[in-house]
Amino acid sequence: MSRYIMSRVLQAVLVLVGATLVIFVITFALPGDPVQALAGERAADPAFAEAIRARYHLDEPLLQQYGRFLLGVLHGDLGQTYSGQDVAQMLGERIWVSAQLAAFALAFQIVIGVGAGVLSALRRNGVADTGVRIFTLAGLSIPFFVTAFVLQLVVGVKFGWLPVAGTEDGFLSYVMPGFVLGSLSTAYVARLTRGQLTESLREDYVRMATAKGLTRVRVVAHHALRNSLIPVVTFLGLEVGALLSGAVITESIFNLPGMGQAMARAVYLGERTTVVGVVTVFVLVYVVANLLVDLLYAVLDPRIRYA
Amino acid sequence: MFLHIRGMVAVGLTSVLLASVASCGGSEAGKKTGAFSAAILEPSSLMPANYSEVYGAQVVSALFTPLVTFDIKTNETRLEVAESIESTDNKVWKVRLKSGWTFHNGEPVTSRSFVDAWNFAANKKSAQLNAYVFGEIKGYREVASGAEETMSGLRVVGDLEFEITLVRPWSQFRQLLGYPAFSPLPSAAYKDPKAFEQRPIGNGPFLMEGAWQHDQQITLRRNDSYAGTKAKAGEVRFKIYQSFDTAYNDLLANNLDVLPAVPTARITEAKSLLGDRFGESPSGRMEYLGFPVNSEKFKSPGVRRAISMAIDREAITKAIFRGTRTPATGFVPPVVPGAAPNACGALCVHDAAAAKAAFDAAGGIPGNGFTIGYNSDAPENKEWVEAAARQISKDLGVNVETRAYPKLAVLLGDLSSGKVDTAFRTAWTFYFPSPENYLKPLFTQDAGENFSRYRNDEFEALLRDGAAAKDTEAADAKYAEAERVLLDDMPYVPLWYQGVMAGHSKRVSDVSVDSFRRLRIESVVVD
Repeated sequence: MSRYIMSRVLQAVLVLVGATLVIFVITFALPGDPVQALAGERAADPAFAEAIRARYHLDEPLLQQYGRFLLGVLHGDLGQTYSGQDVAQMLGERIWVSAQLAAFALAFQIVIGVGAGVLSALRRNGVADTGVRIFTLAGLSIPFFVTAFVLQLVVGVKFGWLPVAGTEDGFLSYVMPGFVLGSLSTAYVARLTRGQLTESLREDYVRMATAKGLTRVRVVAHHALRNSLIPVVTFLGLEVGALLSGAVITESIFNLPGMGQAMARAVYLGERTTVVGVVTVFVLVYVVANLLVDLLYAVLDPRIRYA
Repeated sequence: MFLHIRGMVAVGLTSVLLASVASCGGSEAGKKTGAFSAAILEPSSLMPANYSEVYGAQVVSALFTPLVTFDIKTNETRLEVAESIESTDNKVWKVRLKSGWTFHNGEPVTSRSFVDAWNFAANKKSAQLNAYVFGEIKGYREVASGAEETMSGLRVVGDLEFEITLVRPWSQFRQLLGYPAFSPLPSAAYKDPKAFEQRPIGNGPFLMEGAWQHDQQITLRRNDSYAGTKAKAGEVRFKIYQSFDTAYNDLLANNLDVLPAVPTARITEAKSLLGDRFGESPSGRMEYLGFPVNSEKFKSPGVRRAISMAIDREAITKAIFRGTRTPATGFVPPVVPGAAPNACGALCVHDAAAAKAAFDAAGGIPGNGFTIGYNSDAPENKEWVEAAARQISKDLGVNVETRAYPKLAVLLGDLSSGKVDTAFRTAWTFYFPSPENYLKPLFTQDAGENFSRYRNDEFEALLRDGAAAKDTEAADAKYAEAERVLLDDMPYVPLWYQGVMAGHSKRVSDVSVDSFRRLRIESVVVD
């Protein structure tokens, strides 16, 4: 087991170096001079441009800048944004926001998605099933930013049930954005669970369990559902990464200072160090999530063992 | 793309919700008495000489007070920390400070506080974005290049007295001193500038309550030992948004007190929803259509003037900008003291027949067509540039195309390096209220922002006369003359002046926005 984890960590290091190098090179291809982006609406003063280039080593060759970045990472230093903020510190504050948002989205996906899927599979072609299928179709086909604006105006502005935006109201702030962010995948998870569970319910071992006289609840929960969840867990595992990194629009609509927003701004401003710093965190999240998913397989399916 | 969809969705939805929203209540916006909240975007910096946009200026001018400030209505220069600013030759300026001014930490404001701050900002090592504003002070070049630490043109005479020597006479220098980069800094600023920026200590009407919470908020408390006119509100919380669309929704839900710029797409709705809580103010920002005057296509001033007359400013400002812009009547907006009224006259008024006649008389344009470059990262640019292109095409019988640059930084970069050979969209905001600030930085041959590569020696001689003028009236007369030369040559076509549309909650009153698009937070009254 520990050998398995070790080899996975080594892989992760390789992935990290590869991914950051690729992203680093790509940032050079971003249109526009980052120094000009700093200057806003005016043309950057040449003396200022020179001073900034020197301060952030922008005048060095690409590989030298990358080497400088790697050396910094080894010292736990992700560099600075061009406006002088410490990237590691900034990400430390933001990842907490993103994590809460992702946790709410994931919770909605698990509770509503898996719940609706199970309900649907057990009452196939009944009223509940039809209802779930209609809602999932809507969930899959309405762009999530439309859901976001509608909810913000109706639930936030008109009725005032939930905060419109910002993070001032603690956990309540994340309910609406979490729901919006999770809505698309909730529908997907419901459909996936329904399909898998329907199949499992037809398996011999389920009939066997029922024949043994186990209760319906035990048959479904311990035998059928557990085996149906492997694809769902795989999906949700990858989703954790996507939720943390892909929430740019949700974060912007609900004014949440998370990772996605930091990324979007850094790309816009051409801030190489910030972009790469954020990507480093994303890669780490993906690697850890994948590892956890693989380990979860063993829990869910006793046939899977990691030597 | 996304922004457009967002605008459409928002407009569509609110028309449905309009009636019901108007009557909705919601939670109280502020908890403390005398406290209110105002929306801003994340400032680029809180150092007086380092911000690039209006939100940095907003916070900096609440924290710092320079030697002079400007009247909110007339933009006339008023002495603030300065007791007097005098010069006999426009070149050597003697400044005397009022006594009794202190920084938020109790340190007295002396002539050193100014001189050291300016030397710090001009220094290459400090890498301050707006250091160029010190450019006319003697010795700036040496400090900016890192060869010297102090500008030779700055001399401390006494605790409350110092002297500034300029490279050449400049009658408008007193106005320039109101630019926030000329604010004083306490000695704490130089010990650790990075930490200072997170929680600046100034001499302004408000002081920092805690540190700058990036992308979340900046809270300021009234400075009760302020030596100027004290602020009315006890506390202001700047809520930092990523877009004012969200801030506008927060205002409707009563979670925000002041929104200094209502998004253009929501203007019509805001007027009816907010009623007298919606206010319009003019600003010093204006937009232009510029030409590379040395290019084969645009070298004829007659052609440039014809294009000016072919643009229907009235229609575009109404239909696309929904009244947030007003048609330009010259190169200097009316908010600037000394601006010549309606200097442009018929040249800035749409007249298809006159435009066509002038165009033909000037011999037309080679290839019978041209392109307008613009940056597509500002929401309305695409719309108005395309509308203007259609109007010019129709009136002049030419083929005008448009070319989108993905970001302003890309367009500005190309303009600075002279790579743009098409017509282009550009804008300018003054940094001190003088007609000269709309002429010299844009149209003199060695100006960094002279994107059209315009050069006219008569124009520059008039500017020099203005700089040497003995009084304001004489200077303004020279600048008006220079503006006429410019209008005749038309290297840029002046298009419109930008207005600011602010909205506020029922909890506050006396909300006003100045010509620099800054909310005057010190005058806001919390009911």
